[in-house]
Amino acid sequence: MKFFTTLMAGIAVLLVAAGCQSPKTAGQSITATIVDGDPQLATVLRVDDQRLARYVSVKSVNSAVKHDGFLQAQVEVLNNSKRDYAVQYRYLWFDANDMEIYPGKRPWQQAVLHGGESIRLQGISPYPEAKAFRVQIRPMP
Amino acid sequence: MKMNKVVLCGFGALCLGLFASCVSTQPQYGDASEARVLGMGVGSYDLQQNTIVMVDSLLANPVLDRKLAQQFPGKTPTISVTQIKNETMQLGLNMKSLSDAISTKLINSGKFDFMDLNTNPELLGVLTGMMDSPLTDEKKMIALGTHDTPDYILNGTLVEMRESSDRVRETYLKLTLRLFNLRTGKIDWADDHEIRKTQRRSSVGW
Repeated sequence: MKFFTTLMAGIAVLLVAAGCQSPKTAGQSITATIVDGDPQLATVLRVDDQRLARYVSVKSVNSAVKHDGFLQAQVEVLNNSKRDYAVQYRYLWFDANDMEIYPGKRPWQQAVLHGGESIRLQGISPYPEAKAFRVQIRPMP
Repeated sequence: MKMNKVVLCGFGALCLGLFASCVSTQPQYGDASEARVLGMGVGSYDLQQNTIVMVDSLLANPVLDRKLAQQFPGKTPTISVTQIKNETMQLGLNMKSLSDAISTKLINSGKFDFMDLNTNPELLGVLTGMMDSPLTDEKKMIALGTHDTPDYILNGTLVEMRESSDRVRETYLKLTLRLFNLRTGKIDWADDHEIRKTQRRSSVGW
C-alpha cells in the first residue's frame, strides 16, 4: 500500500514537471543604455528565473555605434553546466526618449549552448536612432 | 485501511486536477514571436528566425558598408527583393511571406530605398487608368517614365535536407541570400543561415 501511495505521488510530481514546464517568466534580462553618445554602457541585469541563472550567466555586454548610426550589440553568455542548454533570446531597442522601437516585432531567437561554452548573442537596431537595448533570455519551452 | 483509502482518493484527485490544468483544450492566444518547434518540417518560427538573422547580417555587415560608401557616396541605394525560391519538400510553403518579412524590415531600417518590381504591372494599370479617366485633373497627372530603377536585387533560396537513422531524424534548413549589384553584375553581399532540427526516436514504447 505504501508503495502504491508513493507511486501516485511520483506520478503527480511527474505530471507537474512534464506537463507544465514551459517558461512562465521572461528569464533574465540585461538592459544597456548609451549615455550621451559615450559607448561606455550603463548596464542593468535583472534575473527573474533563478533556475536559468544557475545554468546560464552573462559574462559581458559590448556595443558599438556603426558609422551609419545603427547600434550593434553583443552579449556574452556562458553555460555553467556540462550539458547542452537551449535558450531563446530577444533584443528590444529603445530610442533617446526611452520609447521602444517597433515593440513586439522582433521574434525570440534560439541558441544552443554546449556544456561550458560561451557564445555571443548579437543584435543590431532596426534603424539608426536606437540609444539603448535590452536582451531577454529564457529557456526553450 | 480507511485512512489509506482517503489518502489514495486525495492523490487521485490531485493527479486529475493537475492533469486537467495542464492539458487545456480551449483555444488560446499565443506569443507569435516565441521560439518553438512543433514538427520536423519548415515551421513559421523557422521563417521568422531566418528573416531576423539575415536582415541583421545585411544591416551589420562592414564589407557591404564599405562598398555602399564607395559606390553610393551620400546616396541611399535602392533595393528590390525578388521571391525566394522554395527548394524544400513542402511545396505549398508561402515564400512570399518570407520575402515580404525581409522587405518590411529593410524598408523600416532606412538603410535602403525600396522598390517592389513585382507590383510594376499593377502600378502601370493604375497610372494608365488615371490617364484614361475623364475624372483626373490633367495638370496633376503623373507622367509615365518617372520611376527610379533599383541599384540592387536581393534574391535567395531556401533548401531543406532530411536525414534519418534508426534512432535519429534530422532536418537541415539553409536560407541563402545574395545581393546583386545591377550596375556591375557583382554580388556585394551574401550570407546563409542554417537551422538543424533533431528528433530522437523513443527506444521504449512507440
